[in-house]
Amino acid sequence: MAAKALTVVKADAVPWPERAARVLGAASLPPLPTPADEAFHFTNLRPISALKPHRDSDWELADVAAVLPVVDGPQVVVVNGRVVPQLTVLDGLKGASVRWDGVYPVPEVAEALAAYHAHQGGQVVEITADEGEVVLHVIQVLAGAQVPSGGTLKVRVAARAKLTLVEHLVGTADAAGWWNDHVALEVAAGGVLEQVLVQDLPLDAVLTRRQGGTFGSGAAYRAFTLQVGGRLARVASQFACAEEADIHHSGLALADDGQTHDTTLLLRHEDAGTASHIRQRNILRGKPGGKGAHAVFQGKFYVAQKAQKTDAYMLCESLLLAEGARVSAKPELEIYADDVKCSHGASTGRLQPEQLFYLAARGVPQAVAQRLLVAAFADALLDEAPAAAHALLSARVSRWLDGTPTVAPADDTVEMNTDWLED
Amino acid sequence: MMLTVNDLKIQLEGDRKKILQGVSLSVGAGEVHAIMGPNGAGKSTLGYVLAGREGYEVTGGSVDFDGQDLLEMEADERARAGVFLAFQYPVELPGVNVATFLRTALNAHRAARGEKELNAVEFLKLCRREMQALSMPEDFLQRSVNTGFSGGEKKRFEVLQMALLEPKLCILDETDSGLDIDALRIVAEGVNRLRDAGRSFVVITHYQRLLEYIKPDHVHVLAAGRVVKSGGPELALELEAKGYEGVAA
Ligand SMILES: Nc1ncnc2c1ncn2[C@@H]1O[C@H](COP(=O)(O)OP(=O)(O)O)[C@@H](O)[C@H]1O
Ligand SMILES: [Mg+2]
Repeated sequence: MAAKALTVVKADAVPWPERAARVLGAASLPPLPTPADEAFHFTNLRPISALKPHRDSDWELADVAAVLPVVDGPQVVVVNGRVVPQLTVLDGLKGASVRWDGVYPVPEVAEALAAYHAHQGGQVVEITADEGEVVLHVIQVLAGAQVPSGGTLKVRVAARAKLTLVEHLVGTADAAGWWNDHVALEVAAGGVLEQVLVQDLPLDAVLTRRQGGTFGSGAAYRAFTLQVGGRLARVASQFACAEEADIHHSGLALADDGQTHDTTLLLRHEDAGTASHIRQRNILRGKPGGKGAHAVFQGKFYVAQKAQKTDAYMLCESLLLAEGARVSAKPELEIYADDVKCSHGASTGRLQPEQLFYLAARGVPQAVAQRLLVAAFADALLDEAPAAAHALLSARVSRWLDGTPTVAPADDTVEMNTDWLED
Repeated sequence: MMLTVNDLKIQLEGDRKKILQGVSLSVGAGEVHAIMGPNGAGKSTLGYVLAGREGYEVTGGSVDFDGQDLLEMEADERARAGVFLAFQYPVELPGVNVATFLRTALNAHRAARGEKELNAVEFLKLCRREMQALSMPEDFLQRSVNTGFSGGEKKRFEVLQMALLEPKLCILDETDSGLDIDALRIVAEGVNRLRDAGRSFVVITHYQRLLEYIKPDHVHVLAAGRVVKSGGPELALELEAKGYEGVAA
């Protein structure tokens, strides 16, 4: 007992950033954001500091193959931030190119997650759509316990192109790492980008994704994010829209006990006539007496003075299916133009007893009735998903609805993890 | 007897307000009973309690349905056993489409009877037949349940569900309210088509008008939570002439 207590003291002696810096070969790394930082007020990154910094990228092809989603057409497979050429299929890719020979420059970055990202050694995968309609799947796999892990996705869409990018985030059965990646989107004037993200990581994994996007005049961006996996998964995006750019961002988060799904969005309307429609739906499930599920939605519209005639709305609706489930919704408006239409709303509710009774009065057993009502809540959002991904999203949602609630590991079991000391 | 309600006393779970103060009613197989009474008499409460809605406390009495203790059963079990309530205010289910809803309900009934589920083709065939009889357009199947329905559409949809589920006991709660004369006739014909020796009806209504189309065997007057008078079809006419006050006095 005494020896164990001593170990815990030693664990606290070396700060986590220092341990991570050693593993990543960085001179130093900043501390991770805490709830004292405004942007992380609702999302506590503590589960990361319970993981052991780990760099080796050993993984078995069979383990990765076992979790690859089966999709048709051109696809890029990335494991722990590096493209796996033997699993990547680019035959039939027309009007677009994919390269991954770039190296991420290690800049001086103050933002903590960016600083870690810069030292992770992930590749830059550059996807460029030049013309015509292109559909491309990117399958990102977290293998083993890489902490931190993940590369950079640079996506460019030219004026006459429409790119449908379907991204799958999965992990091998034993994956318990921290995935910290970056996505940069650039859509030229008149271009169209559809971005679908299916976040289906194992329940032990942590995701922090930062996305940046610039949308040129008249460009269109249609995004659909489905968050299912991860113990803690945050997708934080910052988009800037030029004149007449048109943005639709839909997100569906399906969380069980012990999971936190965070959607953080900043939309910068820089020019006149832009439109942005943001819709988020969260479904929070859990077992009686469970730890509860947590959804975080932070949405902000910034409207510059010259961005007249901006038409922007955001709506966050949550369905709580268990006691202890909770939602932190924070909409913000920062508006400097005077002729704009901006609105936001948030609602949180439970299944209506009246609706359940109506179904019961028709002989529908309670579990079936609940499934029907919850599916209806999800379907209304799925209708907004890009057509090319509708079937796969809908199938994933059905599978979640049919599954029994899963339980992410309890905080205390992770906090006691001190095995990094054995190195 | 199909349904025997014996001295049923009901109060609200929350504020313990007494709503039914000893209601008795016996409905034989194949019979049609009308329940009439002023607003607030407890008519809908009776329907809800028979269908198994939560929020009520039974403080006395019993209900026997076809040899079973109805009050011991869950709402969905009662429905599968053959109790059907046509709601006075049908509930909106946004995003649940009518076809999915009907098929789910129908298959729940079939599963309880040990029959195999209907596939989409079989279901549509059955559904179309009943919808035509009720003059409902086919695109109705793609709409969300009761969402944005007119008053008439809601009532017709209740009757459609009743026709598809083939209950033993049909409780119609003001299925006539808010209907114009043509819609009333369509709904009443729908009900009359379902009448047979093995099926009983409890028709709750505020006005005598519906009873010109659906001829009752017995009429009961419910006032302030009690059956204050029972009689034959002529009682409905008497009510129309004298008003509830006159009859209950
Ligand atoms: N859930 C409820 N909460 C409060 N009062 C109720 C509730 N249900 C019924 N009541 C009251 O009980 C009485 C009977 O209501 P109801 O059964 O709807 O009557 P009816 O259908 O005959 O008009 C009314 O006074 C009504 O206000
Ligand atoms: Mg009523």
